[in-house]
This record gives sequence, C-alpha cells and structure tokens, in this order.
Amino acid sequence: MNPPYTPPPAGPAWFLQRKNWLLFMIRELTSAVIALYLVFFLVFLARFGGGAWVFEEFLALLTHPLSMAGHALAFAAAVWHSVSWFNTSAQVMPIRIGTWRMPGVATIIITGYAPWLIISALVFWAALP
Amino acid sequence: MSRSNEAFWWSLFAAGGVLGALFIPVLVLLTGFWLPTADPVEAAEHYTHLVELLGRWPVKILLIAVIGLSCFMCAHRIRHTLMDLGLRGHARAISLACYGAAILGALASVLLVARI
Amino acid sequence: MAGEKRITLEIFRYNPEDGGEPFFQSYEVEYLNHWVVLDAINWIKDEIDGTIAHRWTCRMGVCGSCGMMVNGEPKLSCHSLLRDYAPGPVRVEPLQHFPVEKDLMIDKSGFMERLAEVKPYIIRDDVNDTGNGEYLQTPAQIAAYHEHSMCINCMLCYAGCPVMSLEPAFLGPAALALGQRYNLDSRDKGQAERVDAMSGDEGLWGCTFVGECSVVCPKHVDPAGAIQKGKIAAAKQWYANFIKPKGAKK
Repeated sequence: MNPPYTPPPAGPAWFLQRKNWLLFMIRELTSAVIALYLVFFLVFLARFGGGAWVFEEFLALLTHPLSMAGHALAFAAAVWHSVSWFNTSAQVMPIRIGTWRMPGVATIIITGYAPWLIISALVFWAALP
Repeated sequence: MSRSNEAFWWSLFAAGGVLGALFIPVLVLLTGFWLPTADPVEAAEHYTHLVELLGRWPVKILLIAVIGLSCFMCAHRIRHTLMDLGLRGHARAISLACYGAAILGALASVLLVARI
Repeated sequence: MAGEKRITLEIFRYNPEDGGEPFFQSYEVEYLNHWVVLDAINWIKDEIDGTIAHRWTCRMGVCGSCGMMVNGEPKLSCHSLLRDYAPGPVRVEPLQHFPVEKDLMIDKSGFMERLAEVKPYIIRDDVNDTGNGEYLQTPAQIAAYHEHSMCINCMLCYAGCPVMSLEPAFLGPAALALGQRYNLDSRDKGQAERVDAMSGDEGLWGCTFVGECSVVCPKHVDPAGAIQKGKIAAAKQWYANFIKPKGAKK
C-alpha cells in the first residue's frame, strides 16, 4: 500500500491561490513602499536641518511629477496600511465592559478611524503657520 | 531566533504599526504635496514655523517615535514577506539585514531630528 | 431518489492501494432543493459508487468531521447547499495542507498531535479537589474566552492558513486558539506549561495574521484574534521578564 498522498508544496506565488491571501500579500508589501518613504523622509529631515536655503532648493525638486507620482504611491500604501491595521482592531483588542462586547464596527471607529482623523487634522493644524 | 527575541521585535512592529497608521498618511500629504506646492513667499514662512515647531522636545520625541518605530514595522513585515516568498533558508541573514536597517533608520531619525 | 435539478460533482479520488496518481471523477446527481454537498456524496456512495471514502457524522455542523474543499473553499460539506453552486460543476477535494489517506479523507494525526501540545485542559494544582465545590466564574470571566471555546476541530482553518504550507511545523490556528482559550480562562493556572509550545517560532510567532482562519471558521471561533491576543500577552511577558530577571523562564 502506498503512503498517503501529499500535495505538492506551494511555490513562491502561493498567495495567488486565494483572494484573501492576495490581499494579505498586498498589505505586507505596502511596508516596502512605506520603507522607501521613510528613507525619503530621513533625507527630507536632513535637508530641512541644512537651513532655509537648502530646504527651499529641495522643495523645488519635489514639484517634479516623478516626486508627485512617488508620493501618490506612498499615500496609497500608507492609507492601505492604516485601513487594514484599524480594521483588525476589534479582533485583536476587543472592548469589553462586563459581558458586553462593543460591536466590531464601533470598536474600529473609536480605536482607529476617529483617532486617525483627529491626529491627521491636528498635524495639519500644527504644521500650518 | 529564540522566542524571546521574536516577542521583542514583534512589540516594536506593533508599536510602529499603530503610529505609522495614525501619522504616515498625513506626513505624506505634507511632504509630498502641501509643502512643495506652497508659493515661494509662503514657503519662507513655513520654514520658520516648522523650525519653531520642531524645536520643541515633545514634538521631536513624537516624530522620532513615529519614524523610528515605523522603521521596525517595515523591517518586521519585509522580513516575514521575504521568508514567505521562499527565502526561509536565509532567515538569519534576512533578520540581520532588515532589523539592522531599521536600527540605522531609527538612529538617523534621532540624530536628524535632534539637530533641528 | 427523485430529484428536481441536476448538478455534476467532480470528486477528488486517490487510492493508496492501486499505486495510481490522484484524479477527478465526475458524478451527475439529481438533487432536492435542501440538499447539501454531503447529501450528494452520500447518495453517490449509496447509489453509484461505493468506493468513495469520506468522513461525516452529524450532518448538522456540530461534529466537525465533514470538512472538504468545495470549489476551492474550505467548507463543512453539511453546510454547503448544492443550489448555491448551481449550475455547477462542484469540485470536491480533501482539505488543503493535509496528507490524503484516501479520496476525501485526510490524515488528521498531525492535527491531533498539535492539539495535545498546547495542553487544552484546565491546569491547576487543586484540580481534583472537588470538596470545595465548583470553580465559579462570573459571566464576564466566561465572556473573556467563550468565543474561542466553540471550536469543533473541523480543521477548515488549517486549510485556509497559508503558513501551514510555508512552515509545515506551524502549530496552526485551531491549536493556538485552543491554548489561548485556556490561557484566558480564569480557572486555569497553566500558562507557564503552555508557553514553550505556544511561544516558539512554530507557535504564535509563526502566524503572520493573514486572518483567513477566522473567515473560514464555521463556528466564529476567531482563531486569528485569539492568536494576536496571545502575541500581546507574550510580548508583555517578555518585557516583564526583562525588567524582573528573577521571574524569567530559561
């Protein structure tokens, strides 16, 4: 008698097999885009610390369409990260008072989307002269 | 890698994941679109305002936390993704490269923010 | 049996005794409106081809033995209405990520060993001392773990979890959720005995939070949530041990 049949191992493209596996892989890959943005942000800080003249020159470079396109991609990746992160909060850190469990949507809004909106507005407000 | 180390790196990932989710989208809008498209007269005002803002220590610490911990979030995910894409045989080298880069990034954020 | 509509089932066949490769065999079934995939397989086995091997017991989503891949999705075949797959065909395969013993029957032994590893029972020194009455729990204490205690060991979550093929030693969703279920139980004092199995690279830290286990779970056990809670607890424990080396486990 032959041993049990073992299905062939998954190749490197395993995440294409199921929709939620693909969404997972996209979520993980946003971190590569965000990492590139963080490198850019460190350069930004270095230029900023270099003085007004250096910084203005740097800002002029950033009006280039390539910079805009890169930032658009970074923004999409960052928002994808935020949304996918907040959407799991009810699973990871459910809010419970006694036996009552806050509905998932409320948990997600209170612990994720609301602080996100408030913090984004505060950062804008603080950064504006 | 022993289990205690993974708990440590995971905690940095989790902290960076939260801070990154809250702060990075608005930072991208600021650095990519709002600051570069301001007109030149405003730009000078922006600069002095931002220098003043980033001169405060609570703001410095917050920015270092956001950037530094986000580096660890990215490093942790990139590390796991590389292993999931078939590089499990090089787990040690991948860990060193990813977390090493994150440590350098975090250190750079400390130095660059501190000198403003 | 007089049916109303017809549908074709493509059933995965593997016979370890004939030395052949697996293949798909098609069967046409006349089905009634309320028939599920399991009804069709039982009918085929009774009326057309008695050589098909599959597991089932309760036909009502309680026993957890009829899990299969139905059109690529891990499903309890007793909960999968044929009419939802009309006009067909319906492809029925054994659960993904398990060795196949015969046809739709997978080898569960790896799963059973994993369950035992997390010691899924209440551990405390005075466990047999019933003289003092029951171990009481408040409704809130039950709520802390209740959802994670609904597992029927159907293994659909293992079929949904990609880590099972990437890291075959991974303990997997159901076992980790069950361990966490006992860790969250106020009557249990056994966290320290589970930590070696649960907090290794093949335990909690093997999970990358794909989340598909919780999507395919027919009992809303939310293994993914249980595992992330376990990671938070393990990370807190790591810092506690770091600050207070006296309490650190080797």
